[in-house]
Amino acid sequence: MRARQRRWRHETEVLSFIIKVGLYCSLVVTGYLIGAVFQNDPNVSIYNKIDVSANGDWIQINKGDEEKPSNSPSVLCWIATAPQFLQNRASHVKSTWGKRCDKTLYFSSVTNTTFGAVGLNVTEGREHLTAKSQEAFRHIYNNYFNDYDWFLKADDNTYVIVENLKYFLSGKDKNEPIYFGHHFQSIIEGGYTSGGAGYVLSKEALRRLAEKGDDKILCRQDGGAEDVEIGTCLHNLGVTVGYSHDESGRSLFHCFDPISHLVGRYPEWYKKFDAAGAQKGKAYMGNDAISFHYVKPMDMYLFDYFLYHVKVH
Amino acid sequence: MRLQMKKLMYSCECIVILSIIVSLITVHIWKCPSTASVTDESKPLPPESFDKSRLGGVSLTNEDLHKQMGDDSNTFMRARDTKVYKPLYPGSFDKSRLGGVSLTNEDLHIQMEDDPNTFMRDFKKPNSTIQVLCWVLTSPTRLKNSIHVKNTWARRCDQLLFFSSETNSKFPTIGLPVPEGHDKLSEKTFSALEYMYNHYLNQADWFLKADDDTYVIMENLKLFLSGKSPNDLVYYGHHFNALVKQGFHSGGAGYVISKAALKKFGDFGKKNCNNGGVGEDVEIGKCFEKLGVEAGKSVDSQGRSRFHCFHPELHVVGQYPSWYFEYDTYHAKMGERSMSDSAISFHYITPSNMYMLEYFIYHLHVHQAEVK
Repeated sequence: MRARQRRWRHETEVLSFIIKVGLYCSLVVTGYLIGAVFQNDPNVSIYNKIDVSANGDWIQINKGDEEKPSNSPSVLCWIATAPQFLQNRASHVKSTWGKRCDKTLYFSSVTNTTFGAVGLNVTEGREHLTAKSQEAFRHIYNNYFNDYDWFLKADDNTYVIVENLKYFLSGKDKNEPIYFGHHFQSIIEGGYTSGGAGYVLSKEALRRLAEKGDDKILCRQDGGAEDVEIGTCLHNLGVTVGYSHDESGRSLFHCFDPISHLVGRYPEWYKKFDAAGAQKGKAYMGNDAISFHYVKPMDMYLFDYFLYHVKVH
Repeated sequence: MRLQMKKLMYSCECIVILSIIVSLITVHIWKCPSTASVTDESKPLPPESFDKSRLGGVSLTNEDLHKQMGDDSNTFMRARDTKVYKPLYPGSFDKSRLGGVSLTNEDLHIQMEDDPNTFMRDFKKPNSTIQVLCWVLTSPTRLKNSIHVKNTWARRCDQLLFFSSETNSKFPTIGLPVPEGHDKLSEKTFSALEYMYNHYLNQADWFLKADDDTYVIMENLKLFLSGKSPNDLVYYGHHFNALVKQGFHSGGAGYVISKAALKKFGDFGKKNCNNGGVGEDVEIGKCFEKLGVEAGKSVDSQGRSRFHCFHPELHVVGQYPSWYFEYDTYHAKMGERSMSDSAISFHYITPSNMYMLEYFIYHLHVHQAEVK
């Protein structure tokens, strides 16, 4: 009886020891997993840590001068357009902000020498925007790589304040594999940037995209959403999304027109995708804002008037 | 003893393990919401399902424009009186060129009113050597539009008065003994002038009239007035060469009356001025002419307009109604270069556009020749 009791006691001790060890191990594993999950949101935590004070300084507008400072970076801009949009969209970009980039190229599926649009070997249409971007970047790399520091992609309904873009880029290293734009935190680890709001690649980022972007395993050559696919491709090539807000944490690249951001009129998906939490109001919009999307052609002239002509005394 | 110790150790271990598990679960639940969005790959992709036609630029939808021009008692009503009136129906605009965020006033009101990032906090009042009193005609049903005037540019007025048919101490509005209605607008305007003559004559140098859909850049108004004297019998605004011998100023674009002119009106105007006309700005124009108040010119040295009758985009595009070509003293120029860099006012500005103009004019700026 006693022997059996002793054996039983011995077994329970061993058993409890095994249980304890098992529990501790699983706790360690869970802890590691949670830690890994924490690290998956570096971008969200960056934007959330910034204290956005309602600092609406009254600023005097300077009249638009066309001089360039000697040490500001040179930027090549390319506009994704189409034959049917040359006249009623791209031409207005050309008359307004398009002329403020150091070089502006208009990419379509058909060459138009009168307008100055470069025809790429792609089919027109939303399903082929990825191919258009890939081809456009390759074309730029083959012809203009050495002449410019940064490479901006925009749509024909994007409005860009080029001087503010240059100001933003002036402290950044063009040889770093990095790109900036309106940051979405979803789908890809590290996020990606919105196509419509405009995104700007460093020289190194363009080099990697153009030289290795034709790898079909790393980069989807066509189809899907252009910004997601280019973002995935860049991510796979080691290019990261840089912090794209100003020093106070206010947004610079905008996915929608100004009023939508001012009043917070957003579609549901935006509230989940935006890395900075889909804020609204001018306190969260930079005074040095760089871009807006879904801008009607006539409004580009309006923006030009208020930014480059109206002075407040 | 050994047994007791073992039991004690065992129970301690259980407690420790349980507490670790509980705390981990709590942390995991707290962290859960944002992890879902990063790792969940079944979220729908953005723009495909999203109706882009609802977004657009800063300009008015055709509905807004039509409604406002239909409601406008100033220029369009007067046009109806004197000639064949061609109303500004949507057909006469190329709809694809206008757009706008179709926000209702309710949307805007809800979003703006208790917004902690309210526009109320951050602004600087312009130079106060010249005192300007702003007065706005409104009505009990239009307070929800007038609030946006109050929240935006009117903060820069030295004095601000809202006139209505009812006194509202909360807004606040001053109630005039004139009923609402398009045909009562000139009567309301004269009544407002009389009120200001009686109560505010010595409180300002200049008296600016604006509608609740007018946007005014106060700094530029003060700059313009800095070279003028409030002792002159004069008023300034967007000049029309019609109907009145010396011309008159558009009501919607806003006009600014000198102190001397207001005093003259108070002393002599009530007897001499006809109260009954339909176009408020025409009646004021006729009245001032009788009193010897000059309808002063306000274009800049390059002939560019400062006070504007329409939304800035319409001036850029130049799709004016036909009467404008005949009435406008400066031949209805168009394009951004027809508007002065020191522009003072615009008309037909929807509430959401007022906030947009605030952002563009007072916040957004262009870095010139600067690097970090």
